[in-house]
Amino acid sequence: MSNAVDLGFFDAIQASMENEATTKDNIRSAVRELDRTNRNITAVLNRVHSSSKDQVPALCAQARIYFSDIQNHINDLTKLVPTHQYYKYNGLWSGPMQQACFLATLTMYLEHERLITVEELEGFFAVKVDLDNNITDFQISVEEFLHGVVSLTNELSRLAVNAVTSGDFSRPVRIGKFLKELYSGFQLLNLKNDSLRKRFDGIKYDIKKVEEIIYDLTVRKLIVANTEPVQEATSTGADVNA
Amino acid sequence: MEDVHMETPPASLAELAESPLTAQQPITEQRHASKEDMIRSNLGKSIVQDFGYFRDILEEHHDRRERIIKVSRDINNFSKKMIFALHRAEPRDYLPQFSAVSEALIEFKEKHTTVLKLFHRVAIDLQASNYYRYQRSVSGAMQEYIEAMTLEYYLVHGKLMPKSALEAELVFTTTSEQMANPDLIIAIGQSFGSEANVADGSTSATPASPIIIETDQTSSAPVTAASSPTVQLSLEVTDEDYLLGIADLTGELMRLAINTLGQSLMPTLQEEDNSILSPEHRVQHILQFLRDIKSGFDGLSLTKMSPISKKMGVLRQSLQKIELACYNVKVRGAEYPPEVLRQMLMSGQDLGGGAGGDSGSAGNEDEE
Repeated sequence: MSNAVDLGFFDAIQASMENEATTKDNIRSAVRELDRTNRNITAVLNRVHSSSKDQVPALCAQARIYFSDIQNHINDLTKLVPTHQYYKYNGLWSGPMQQACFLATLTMYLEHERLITVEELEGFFAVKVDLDNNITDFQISVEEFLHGVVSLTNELSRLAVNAVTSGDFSRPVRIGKFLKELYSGFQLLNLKNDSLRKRFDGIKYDIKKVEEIIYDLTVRKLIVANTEPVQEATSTGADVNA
Repeated sequence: MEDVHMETPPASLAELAESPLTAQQPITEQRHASKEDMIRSNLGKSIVQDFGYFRDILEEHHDRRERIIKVSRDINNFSKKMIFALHRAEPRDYLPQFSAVSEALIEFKEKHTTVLKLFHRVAIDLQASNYYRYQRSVSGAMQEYIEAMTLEYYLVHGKLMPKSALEAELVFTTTSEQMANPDLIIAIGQSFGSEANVADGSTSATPASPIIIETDQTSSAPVTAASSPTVQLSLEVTDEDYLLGIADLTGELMRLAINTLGQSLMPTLQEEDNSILSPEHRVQHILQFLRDIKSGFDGLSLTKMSPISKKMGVLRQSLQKIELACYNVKVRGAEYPPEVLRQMLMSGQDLGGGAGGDSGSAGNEDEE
């Protein structure tokens, strides 16, 4: 009667659950490395708020050195994820990956004052972005990228404040223009009631903040209303308008 | 269009090469590649255009999840009905010579066929990485199905159904027409209205198909229909779903045991043919089966967070309830007339047993 339940089967399940726990632990430690490098880059890029604008390229160059470490960490992670099981473990790295996307997006903005392209993002991490739901192994999901873009809007509104403090009055104007463009992009998305939606709802406060800065500057005639400051109309700035 | 890709995961390219799909393979790949290439070549021109593509990508994902949730709900409903049918059947119905004429078991089989078709339909959306992407949306339905199947297996074979036997049923041969139009497999969303239609003749096109899933493939369906290649789709049963399904099974076994115990007190049913075990023996068998399952679960090292450990409480309750019921029959058997005792048993089950069983299934419905 007692052979109705094959206890060997439970042993097999126990073994496979232990395997899974090991995989998760390995992924967690790889993600921890990724997170550490993320924080290094964040520390470097944080200095942009207290630097003059001609120091920015040097900061970006310094950040870019760390991105090769990020590539290595992601490469380690890639090897740990079994084929077709990306979403089984996705929750373990999604947060740090969003942060890494944000950092790449911010670096790119500081260098060229435009939104990073998917191709450039892939270049930063040496991983593809999943554009057609055809993941087999590790990829970056569009959601993760968009989370990074939302973080960018938040960071740029802060940068707008600090640019004024350090005497750069034209930057808030450019940031304001860029954020509005991003916002109209986000408005195209039909977001469900998920975390991306909640964070998207916050973008308008970032825009409001930048608009208030521009108002303050305009009222005091520190910038000329509706006119791009002449010296700032660089070729990279024109890209955004294209 | 994503489905087309899903039928050709790189892992199985080798085996597919031998299949009749070979002729069609390059076409699919090419069409698929061109879609991603098309997106790629258009990206980076303007923010608004890029976000338009992102919207499409996200929308595809949300639509797919909606479809999966809808089918899962149907699977859940039909699985519950399968379980009800099993409880309605008499013990002798499970003997091979009677199973074909038992009304309850015929109903079970009809529902089973329907559920398999529903799984077939949902399998299209759950290939390759998508299985784990949407796993939380189907796992509730999967557990309910496992509960029904393991209960039937126990009633027929007196054993625990192995996971491999469950998975063996979840392999589907799909034609490209079915890939393009899942309504050909089974139309969904009818489990409440005209379920009879779905149950017996779902192969025939349902007149008012409530949900038509539009895919880009539809346009290219005629091309592929000519060769009509088939693809094997399979669904994996995860260890966790299997264990949770078994945990739910224990609640059903408890119900079964109490009912059987009640039967043992009915004098009219005592003189049955001796090809089946007496009710007392059947209760003892269920009890032993449950104890075996419990010792299997007890051997697993689970974290407190695991949903399985939450269900362990239900398992323990079910077991104790049967043990207590057996005790009561033994102790008070001589004091009350059998009919009164039986009433006591049944009402006891309604109070405690019902709650235990419901909390198990309520957990499933909470998913997504």
